[in-house]
Amino acid sequence: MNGGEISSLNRSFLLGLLDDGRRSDGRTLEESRPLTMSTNVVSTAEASVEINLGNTLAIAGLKVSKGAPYPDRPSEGVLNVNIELCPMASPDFELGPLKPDAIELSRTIERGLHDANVIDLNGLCIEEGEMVWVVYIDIYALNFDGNLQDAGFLACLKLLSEIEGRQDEVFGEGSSNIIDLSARPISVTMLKIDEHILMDPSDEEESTGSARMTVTVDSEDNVRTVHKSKGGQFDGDDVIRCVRMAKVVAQQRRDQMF
Amino acid sequence: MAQDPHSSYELTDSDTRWIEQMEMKIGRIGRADGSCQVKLGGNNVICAVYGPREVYPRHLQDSLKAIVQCKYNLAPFSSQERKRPGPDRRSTEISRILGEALEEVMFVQRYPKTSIDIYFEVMEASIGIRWLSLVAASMALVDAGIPIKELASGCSVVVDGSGPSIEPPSELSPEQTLVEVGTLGDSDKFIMFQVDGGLSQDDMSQTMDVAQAGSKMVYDMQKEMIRGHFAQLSESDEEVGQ
Repeated sequence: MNGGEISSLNRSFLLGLLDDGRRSDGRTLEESRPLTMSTNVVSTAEASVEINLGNTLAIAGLKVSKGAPYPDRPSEGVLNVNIELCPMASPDFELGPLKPDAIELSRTIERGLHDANVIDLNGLCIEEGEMVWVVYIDIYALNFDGNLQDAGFLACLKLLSEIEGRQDEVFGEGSSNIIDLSARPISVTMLKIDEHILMDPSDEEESTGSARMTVTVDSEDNVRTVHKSKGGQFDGDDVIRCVRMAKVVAQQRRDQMF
Repeated sequence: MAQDPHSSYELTDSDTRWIEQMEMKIGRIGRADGSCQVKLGGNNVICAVYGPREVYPRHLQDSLKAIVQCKYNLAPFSSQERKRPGPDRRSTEISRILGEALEEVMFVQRYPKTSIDIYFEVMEASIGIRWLSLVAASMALVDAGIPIKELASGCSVVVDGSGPSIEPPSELSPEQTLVEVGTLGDSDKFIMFQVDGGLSQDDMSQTMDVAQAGSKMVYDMQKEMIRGHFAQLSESDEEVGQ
């Protein structure tokens, strides 16, 4: 996400701190911001969650409805993740149709969920070629302070875990194995500024940094997805360092979520 | 309940119990200049204000006053059936109505060539969402420090054969009429007035009395909320000062 612009004064202040291994909010480079979640915040959704990752605030809701499958995948249901960058979330967000930023975010989150096999799309098929379950997850970013990637992913995971125990109720009898969160995948996003790698970047840091990396790790410490975004470069050592950092934070978040 | 000076209607216990359930939270959206979340029954709306700030796009700028740009948006999961994301005719209409009502409480001539942007994100919508949005917006304006003539308050009343009621049913039946008003504080001035259904002239004046009595109670709750919020702010400011 290209948040806002940052003054060169502020930028050099941030860079100066980083050289001492510090950040403007007092965190170490490897440290994530506090994560809090509360569920059942919207009664019209099948499941809902309000998530705070530092000052980043989002509300997400899950709804299911019946619809037609994609013509090239007649026996698969659909998982649709949509992230909305509300204009209230930041002075830099504007009104209008989805920006490429938001689409990239939605897609990465969707891929992260698919690659960890948390949802069995074949199980969502009602009648091949005719009708399937469509699972919609809509994420509303209400206050933006960086790293919507993780906030969005963790919100999705929480929503799915909310309906994991009552799948028969949501998708009808005999559909208890559609959602399977046993892999416990967690997405962790890091940012590279000069030679430094920063865990869970804030908006200010995202506006300063050059390259971003999202790693999804499962409970066996296997890497499920990697997504590099924005310009900049990572060398092999950087990638290994990111994965190592991601495992630590993923475990913390996993302990908190499950 | 104290007798309202403008109204001949006294709120019933069930009316007051309903309005008392209204929750307001000021300052939830840190990035915005001001914000407020309001919840009541099946309604949950977050309003945030930015401004007065530079007008974008530039050609909308007015050299005599600030323009008020309102955007009311429903989350796809805010209703029983999933709604396609993005604006539709209904939300465009409501944006318009809210913006015009709010312009009435602000001193727009004081901020020429600027824009005051008011965003509503509706997380859950039911009967009464319009007046609750108005309440949220006037609290957000206070939080943003934008001077206003008076708080916008409001109330909704559902009328059927058994008379008017402030507590709405979970769904409107075809025989029921919904009246939603926005008022200039506890005065008898309406800044928003919408009726959907059918009302006789007698029903109409009685309903207005009920709506005003309701608005008065809402107004008192808003004032109390604001006092509490600023008292808390000044406490935390003092702590920082020490």
